[in-house]
Amino acid sequence: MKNLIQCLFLMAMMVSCTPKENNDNVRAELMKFHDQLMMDNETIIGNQMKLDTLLRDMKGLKTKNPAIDTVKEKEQINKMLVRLTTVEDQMNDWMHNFNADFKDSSPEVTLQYFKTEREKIAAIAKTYQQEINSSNVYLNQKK
Amino acid sequence: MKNLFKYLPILLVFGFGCKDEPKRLPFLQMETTQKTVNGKVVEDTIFRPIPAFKLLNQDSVEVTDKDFDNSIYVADFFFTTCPTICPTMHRNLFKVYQKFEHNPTVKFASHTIDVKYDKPSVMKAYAKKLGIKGNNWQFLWGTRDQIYALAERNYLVAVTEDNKAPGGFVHQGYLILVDKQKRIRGAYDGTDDAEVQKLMTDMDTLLKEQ
Repeated sequence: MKNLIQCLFLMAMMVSCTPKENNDNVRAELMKFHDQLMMDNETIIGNQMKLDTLLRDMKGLKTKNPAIDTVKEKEQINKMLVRLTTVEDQMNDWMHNFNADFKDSSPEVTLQYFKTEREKIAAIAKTYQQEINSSNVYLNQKK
Repeated sequence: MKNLFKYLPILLVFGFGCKDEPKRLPFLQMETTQKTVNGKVVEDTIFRPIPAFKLLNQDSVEVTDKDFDNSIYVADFFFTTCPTICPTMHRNLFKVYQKFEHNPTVKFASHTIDVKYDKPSVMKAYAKKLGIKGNNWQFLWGTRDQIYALAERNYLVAVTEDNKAPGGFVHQGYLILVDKQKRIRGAYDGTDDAEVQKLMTDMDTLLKEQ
């Protein structure tokens, strides 16, 4: 019985110590996502530029990697560029549509707005990582 | 009295000798190499100045490196829809702009990294909202490759050298101080009040340099 009371007390403490989601902390978390994505964006753009350079010099790529089929390689690079540009555009579109000063007369509506935006940017962040990883792997192979 | 005249030249020599050397800012992109001249090995200093560039400003007017000749300037990278770092950085930079607003030898060059959206007309509205008058503060637009090459190979090399973490410097709010010979003389965190204050002090020092 004593242990049960202790457990209940601890659980009550944990619940009360968990910070409630509010406009400020959801917005702050969202901004952290944004800043991290902007840093990743530099890698996305950097990799696009590196792939562009490879495309402009397929002859050089063939010299370094004699086993490659340049037609297939070109196709692969172009597909990768499309994916990198698409994800970059998704981020740009999100930024241009996001209203950092959004405030509704209802606090619940305001909170819901930032929560929805946080979900959107979290999804973009996941795609960013996938595209960065796959393009990094390709570029490292072709160094 | 006779003794005073006797020792006056010595006193004057010591007096001038002890005078403080004017403070000079460091060069952030300077390399020292050795070369042989007339059979002797001598040290040679190589500077990496900002290269020539041709961009468009907020009035869709072409701006080149020549427009910054005989001026010191502060360069940064931003985008108009940025909700976090850039507004703080530009609010701070505006204080610097106000301090040197009437000095024609002080300029500002803000490069947009969102080249698809921040067309000159968008930047014009942004500059107006910020309170910029005249053309001492240029908001510059170029192709993605032009802007990122300038950022990563020139302006921000000084920043990346000081940091171990790779990448991510274009969007960290750095303000880069460039001298009249287009050499980088300082890099400051534009979101930090103390760093911005240091930038202003360093600009005064740089203006006094011959």
